[in-house]
Amino acid sequence: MTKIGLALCDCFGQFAEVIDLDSIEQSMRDSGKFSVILRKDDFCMTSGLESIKQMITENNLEKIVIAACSPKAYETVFRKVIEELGMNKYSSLVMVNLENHVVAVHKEMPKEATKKAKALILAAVAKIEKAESIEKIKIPIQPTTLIIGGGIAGETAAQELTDLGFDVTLVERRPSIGGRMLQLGTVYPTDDCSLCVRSSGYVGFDVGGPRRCFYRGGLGTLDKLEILTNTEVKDVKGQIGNFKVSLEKKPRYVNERCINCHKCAEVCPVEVENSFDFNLTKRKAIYRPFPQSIPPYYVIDPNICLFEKCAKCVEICPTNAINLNEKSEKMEKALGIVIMATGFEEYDASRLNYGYGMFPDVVTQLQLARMLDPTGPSYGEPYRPSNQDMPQKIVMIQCAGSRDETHMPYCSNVCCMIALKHSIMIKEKHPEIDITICYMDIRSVGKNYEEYYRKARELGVVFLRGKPSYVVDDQRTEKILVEVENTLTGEFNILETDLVALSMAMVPSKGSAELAKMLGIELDEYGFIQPLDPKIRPVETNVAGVFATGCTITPMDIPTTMAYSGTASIRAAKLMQSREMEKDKVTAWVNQDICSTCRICEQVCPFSAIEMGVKEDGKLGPAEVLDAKCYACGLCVSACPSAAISFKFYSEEQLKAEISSLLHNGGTDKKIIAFLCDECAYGTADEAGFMGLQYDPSVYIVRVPCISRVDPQLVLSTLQEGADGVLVIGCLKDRCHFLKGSEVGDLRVNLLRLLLNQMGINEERVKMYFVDCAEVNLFTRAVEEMTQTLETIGKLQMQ
Amino acid sequence: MTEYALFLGCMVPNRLPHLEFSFRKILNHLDSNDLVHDISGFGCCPEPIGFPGMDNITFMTLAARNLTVAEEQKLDILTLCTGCFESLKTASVKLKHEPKLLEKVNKHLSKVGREYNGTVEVKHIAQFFYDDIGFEKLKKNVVKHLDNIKVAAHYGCHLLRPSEILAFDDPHNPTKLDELIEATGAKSVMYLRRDYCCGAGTKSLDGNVAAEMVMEKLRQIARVGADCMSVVCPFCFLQFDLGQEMASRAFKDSYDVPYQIPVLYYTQLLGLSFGIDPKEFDFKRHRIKVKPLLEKIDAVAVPAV
Repeated sequence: MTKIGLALCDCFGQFAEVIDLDSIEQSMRDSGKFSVILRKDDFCMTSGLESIKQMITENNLEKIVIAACSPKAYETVFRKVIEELGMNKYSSLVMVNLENHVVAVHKEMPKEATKKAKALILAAVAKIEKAESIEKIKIPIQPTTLIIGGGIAGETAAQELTDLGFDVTLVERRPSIGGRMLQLGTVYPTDDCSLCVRSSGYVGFDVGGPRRCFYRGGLGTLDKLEILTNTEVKDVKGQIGNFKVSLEKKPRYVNERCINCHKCAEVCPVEVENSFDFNLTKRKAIYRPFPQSIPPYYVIDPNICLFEKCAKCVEICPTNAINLNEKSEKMEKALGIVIMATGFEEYDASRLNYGYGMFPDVVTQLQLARMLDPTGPSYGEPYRPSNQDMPQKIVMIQCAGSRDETHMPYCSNVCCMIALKHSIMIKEKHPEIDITICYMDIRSVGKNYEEYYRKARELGVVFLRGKPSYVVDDQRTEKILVEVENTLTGEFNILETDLVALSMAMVPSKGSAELAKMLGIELDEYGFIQPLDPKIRPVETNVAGVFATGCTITPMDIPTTMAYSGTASIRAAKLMQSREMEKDKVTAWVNQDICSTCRICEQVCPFSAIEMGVKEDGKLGPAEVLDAKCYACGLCVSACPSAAISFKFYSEEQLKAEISSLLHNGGTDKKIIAFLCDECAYGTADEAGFMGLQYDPSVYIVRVPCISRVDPQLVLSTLQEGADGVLVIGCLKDRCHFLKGSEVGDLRVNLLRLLLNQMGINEERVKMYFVDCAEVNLFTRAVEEMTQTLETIGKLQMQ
Repeated sequence: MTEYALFLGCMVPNRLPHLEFSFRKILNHLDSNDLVHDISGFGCCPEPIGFPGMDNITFMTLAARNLTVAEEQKLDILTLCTGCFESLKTASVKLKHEPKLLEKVNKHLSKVGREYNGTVEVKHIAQFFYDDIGFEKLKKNVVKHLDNIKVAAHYGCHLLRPSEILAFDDPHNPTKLDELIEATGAKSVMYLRRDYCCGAGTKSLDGNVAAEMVMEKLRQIARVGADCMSVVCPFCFLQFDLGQEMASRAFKDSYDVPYQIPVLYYTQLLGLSFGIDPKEFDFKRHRIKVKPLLEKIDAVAVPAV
């Protein structure tokens, strides 16, 4: 027989004020379950911990039940102690929460409280008897990182991680890294050239001052950084520490012998819109993406190149750098960490009634940024694309597609500042140009930003509060007409203008949804990455080891992106530095013999921790839980229709034994089993104890990791075993610690209630509540409602 | 397919019979005569704005009487006029969802031996072409792509608002009439003041206000270089056609050129793209000459492939 000890706390006489500890001790001795019982006051202090150690070693105990206060407060301390003695911290210890579940909450009913305390201790014994030893697993983590997206977000993360000594593979689908920032010309809040980046490769002191031009910054020459341009991620498999990434490197057709002599582009006969200038200019089929590109070579656009039919570039190239027969290259890489930095693009402007695409003189702010770039197509002068003239009047339309429920309801964060920056740039150079900004609200939030707004007004920029309804062109005068109501004066205006700049909404880049699917990460309704917790884990995703930074999370400006990339890098470095991750195997595991390969678990897992195996013949094999990704919520355990998935901790047997013991030993007439999730719900019950709120002693609390662990079968067997009511209490739906647990739990309980009705059991016997940790009275109200219900419908009579 | 009783209203048969005629031409051309029936017994729709403001029950009763006429024949109602559309549709929707109102109305109807059961649906011809006939059939019949003309669509207030009852299109950004116009190959141009009223409703109060409202719309339509307007309501038609001439006369000092923007009822435009001889449409009844437009179409109109 297992040798179990009981440490029963007196709490310096606090417990004795309510419960009869002598009687409890006597009953426990009578039960014969314990080989030794220790009564003391100070288990939570050093002296008490010593006495527990002594008790275990002297009696050769295998397991121990500690009946004291909340496990939330002291479980880790006790686990540490028993681990030092070589016992398993999960299977050898169960705590009974005498303080918060009995003493503090049933002050007026000492008899019932004493009975309940006995029942709780016996249930703990039942639970610990069934406990299986849980081993530790070690997951090796390769100290290498894949960064997807070579914009400022990805580059910064790459710099940080290489500085810390980790190898980084930076993948960019365009022919050069650099991203959107380089297209902006000048950037706020410094009003400097957007090509200015942090110089790379110098830890501590940056040679050349705090910043350098993009092409001189040293990014392309870092030993630990592998830059793969023209490359796309095709597939990602595996888990944190060992992601298996398939990449496809598309042919560039020009190798590193290129000396940028530009002769090839001169002879190239094919022209196409230049995407770097947002189609304002043209480029040849062989081109350099922009003069400072990294890598610094030309590239051929395979979509328009005539290849062998022409081959003029091959003939003229003085260094034989061009090979038209280059093929795309497939690569497989094993990398430890993934950082998503896929950035943004502008919302499709032609979907608005602002004439974009119909009238050439309607441009987006990014196109205007190209015009205002001193190295751009017009050397920094604004012009009308229709006739290249200098505009006399410019209208900017804010919130084009943003803050609009028919398009994108969110605020895109940077557009106000970009419009202010552009209007100041134009006004300072050409005070004679009239600029009107049609706005809903000017959001120049933060230090130094309001100053932009004031400066723009001082320079004479007109701010008109109203959102234009239509933009059309006047056929006779070649002016653009903007219809807008000035909502401050109520006037309906038609503005005649030469150029319209639309401050378009920012949306996630094309292809980021496919990438997210490959990685198993969750997106929000607009396609941005949903952080694991928007408040405190802004760069982490639901998949362990996959981080995100930059505009792929939410629209943000450059300084914020720098900060996000720093955070993402440090979180990645934290995982990589020890080269392995140690984890207790509390995670779910699949009994491969029973798995029917129905793939339900694969779909329900909020953390993409389940992958289907592949049999030798290539057919679908049984499911596998990737331990490193698993957060041990139990959603899959209760979702599996074949009961093939189980937990070692909170196992089915353990829960059933605990419940059965509670129902048999519980002293009350009616019995309510309350399943509380280990996060907010259990916290609320603790909180009720701290605040001394009183509730009915017929409630017995059963701790589960997440309410998604509670499957209908378990509730039914609980009712069958003799419970009169079942409470299921979890976290608020949108704040579930395991993302989808409460949502799924709600669905299940609702279905179960339907089923109960059909079985002739009143559905009111099962109630579900969602609480926030601090909503104490919600917990006591739940108990009150259940006891009242039971008073009206009476005890459950099972035939 | 749903069959309809054609509700002509007052304006079309009395002042603009050629609009009805053009609709019948199209029906004939599409071989859809059996979808639309002429039945006798309809009265005044009645007028949708002032009338219910005076006495809603009387308004509902008169409208419901019209609905019973179609209900007897187990037909839905199709209107040529957006005013009739609003009146009858409002009555049909409200009587369907407000049993108490229906009870009251039926009490009055019983005095003339009638009872309404709430089964009649009301459609405007724009909806009829959009939903019942469909783009596939329309485009199949287009033999003359009106590629070279730009058309300014005017929806009319009573086709769009109140949108939760009429449910024709998004009242702020409607597109259905533009789509119907573009089915002919013509370009439906965006213009400012697109959702402004034609001004016909103000005519009886103050002719100058009505003229100013027409002028503002025409000014914006001329600005974007539209060749003609297309409307789906006889009141809008009259206001833009006859009203255009009257307003041009009234404002001849303040505008350089009097506007001459032809106005076509949608079925007339459709007929032109179907290759029906323009003579059949009685364009001589239009105050603003349609001839320049027809010449422009004929000059470059490309036969459909």
